[in-house]
Amino acid sequence: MEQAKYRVYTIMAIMSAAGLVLIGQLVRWQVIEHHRFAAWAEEEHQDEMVIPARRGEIRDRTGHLLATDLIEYDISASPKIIADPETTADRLASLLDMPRNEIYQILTSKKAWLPIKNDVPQSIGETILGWDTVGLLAEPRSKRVYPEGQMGAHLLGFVNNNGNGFYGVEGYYDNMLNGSPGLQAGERSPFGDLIPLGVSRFVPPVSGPTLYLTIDRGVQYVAERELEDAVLRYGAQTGSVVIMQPKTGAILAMAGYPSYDPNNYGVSNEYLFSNPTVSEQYEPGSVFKIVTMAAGLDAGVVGHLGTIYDGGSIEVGGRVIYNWDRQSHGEVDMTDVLAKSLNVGVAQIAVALGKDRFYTYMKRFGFGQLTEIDLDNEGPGTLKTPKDANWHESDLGTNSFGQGIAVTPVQIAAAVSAVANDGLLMKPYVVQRIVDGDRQVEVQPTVVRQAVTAETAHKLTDMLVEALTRSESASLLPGYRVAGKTGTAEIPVPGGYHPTLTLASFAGYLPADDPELLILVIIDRPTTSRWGSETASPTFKRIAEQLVVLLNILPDDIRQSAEVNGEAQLTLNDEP
Amino acid sequence: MSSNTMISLRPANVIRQIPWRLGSKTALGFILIIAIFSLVGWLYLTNASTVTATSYRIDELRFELDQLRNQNAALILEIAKLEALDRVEARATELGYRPIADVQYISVDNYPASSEPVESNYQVVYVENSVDAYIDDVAQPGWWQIKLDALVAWFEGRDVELLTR
Repeated sequence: MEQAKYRVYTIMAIMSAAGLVLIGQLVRWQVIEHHRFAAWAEEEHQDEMVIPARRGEIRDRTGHLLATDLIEYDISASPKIIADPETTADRLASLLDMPRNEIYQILTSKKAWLPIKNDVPQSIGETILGWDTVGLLAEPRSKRVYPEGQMGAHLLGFVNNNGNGFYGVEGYYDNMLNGSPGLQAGERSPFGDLIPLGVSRFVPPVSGPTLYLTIDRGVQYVAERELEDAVLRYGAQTGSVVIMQPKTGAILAMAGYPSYDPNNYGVSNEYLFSNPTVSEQYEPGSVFKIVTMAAGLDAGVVGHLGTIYDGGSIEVGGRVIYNWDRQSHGEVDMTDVLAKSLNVGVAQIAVALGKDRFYTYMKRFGFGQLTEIDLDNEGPGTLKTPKDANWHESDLGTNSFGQGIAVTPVQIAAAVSAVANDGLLMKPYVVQRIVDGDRQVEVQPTVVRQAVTAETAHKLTDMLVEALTRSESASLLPGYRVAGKTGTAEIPVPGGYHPTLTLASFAGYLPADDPELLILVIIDRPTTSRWGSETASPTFKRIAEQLVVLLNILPDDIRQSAEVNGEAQLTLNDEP
Repeated sequence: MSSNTMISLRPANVIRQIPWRLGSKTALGFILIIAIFSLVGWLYLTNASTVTATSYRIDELRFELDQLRNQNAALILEIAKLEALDRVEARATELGYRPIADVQYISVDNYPASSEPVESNYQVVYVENSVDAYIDDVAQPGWWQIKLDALVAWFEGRDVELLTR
């Protein structure tokens, strides 16, 4: 009897303890951790799906498509819930152009999920979606596509598989182009479907705006074709071309060779991605004499008709500077200094200016600073000034003819454009218009500063025109007054300069009295000739002679005659 | 109850004699209440069914719209690829076209010029960069616009773009 009582008490004790545990758990769930479990439950039946926004398009100034998004599908399967693998395999095989057995093996696999084929065209993906086969999945995915292929790759940049833009316009305007993703949220059933009568929220995605560039694809095409031809023709390693409107700073074309295909950037070397016209710096050589001469004229240390004596060499800061031909040219005027590209002549101007004024002018032309062009990865170049510890008195002499200073091509293009544009330095830019639905922003040209006076700029333009004529430059284009300057820069190597290799360049604009185009050509390490006058200058001409037709820039006599007669400028495309 | 009381078990008699038998007015009231509840229920179910059907239809249309947009974008891309300059040049070369070698310009007297005057001077606007310009000019609505949008959203009981399905 006692034993039976004991058993009853034991069972009661156990049941009481179990009851207490249950009560404790209930108190924990219902009172102590109520919020956590409530949130958990809420999360379980709440569905939130982010709807990616469509990335904005990029078009050229005439509206031609340069970059857009294409939808592709990734096809996969959950084999365990495919009801009829045989029929499904038959249908997929013909559609996906895959062996039927391979698909059948996937569809009959024991695994929960398996991919079948990725990057399937949109039409095929939509056909598979239309079958509505349980267990067969077609996931849409955006892919950035560049219909012009390799053209403008450095300028445009590319977008990776995660939708992030890199380099060029894609990199600089990445956040803007991405738009704002949408959201679909609401209660869902145990089968994962949204409950129609439940509270739900739908925020539509906002596509990124369309960017219209200042780039003209025709000009870009000519620039790239002629650049490639020049690099191959002159046995060079690389090359760059910048074409801009001096009056506005609008970039019409930017080309770098070699380039890559942004549609398939993964197969290219990473070093090709960088835009050489804004990211790579180089010693400009004699093209820089335009800037030194502008400074000398503007400061009044030399007159445009003045002369100097060229003794063949000059010592600046303990370093002896020679002319490229190691010759003395005697009494020469300023135009001859440019025509014969006399290092001694511009070094004298720099010395006459003095270090403070010389470097002030360099900064006024934008050297050593970013141009703030709207492209990713712009470099500032390198300009040592007397405030820098590593600056030496001799730098004043070498800098005057473009050695010992590093610039980016776009800096040189902007600086020479300032001379073409009445001394006004313009900010280079590549996005002309931003269109977002029915709203749009027109980007206006921006004046950075007055680098030199308009009078100085006009005088220098005349001198540059005359200098090309005197030197019988290969850049001269019949019918047009061209202003410009060649450059042949030695290439710095550890311990000095390379004995033979050079960087040949030409910067010029036309028509000289009313400049419409500035063209900068850089040929890196040409082997057929080391001189800019024999490589970059003829390349300039080949580009310019096509562009004057393409852009309807009339020959000087026709244009001036029309202006004198009070007629509007006629172009080939004008309709009566 | 006495022992000689007669009890009839015929259904009609049973119904007539049950203690809670309703009066005709009460019965009518009950029927009305049931009818009203039935009507409300019917309206609710009809409405719920319509909302559900419409919701699915909206989803279908949204999906269809997305597909059409994507197809449109694919067609635009196809056109752009066909217009690509290297392709156009190759085709032109096939057709026998050659680059221009010598351009001659001819002045034509009294040729009607474009009515649009040639703008030589541009208006200089100081813009730090185009991203700022876009944000300043487009993306940011004014104070009044923000307040008005918030008021409308509150009035309509929605949060940004809220659609109750």
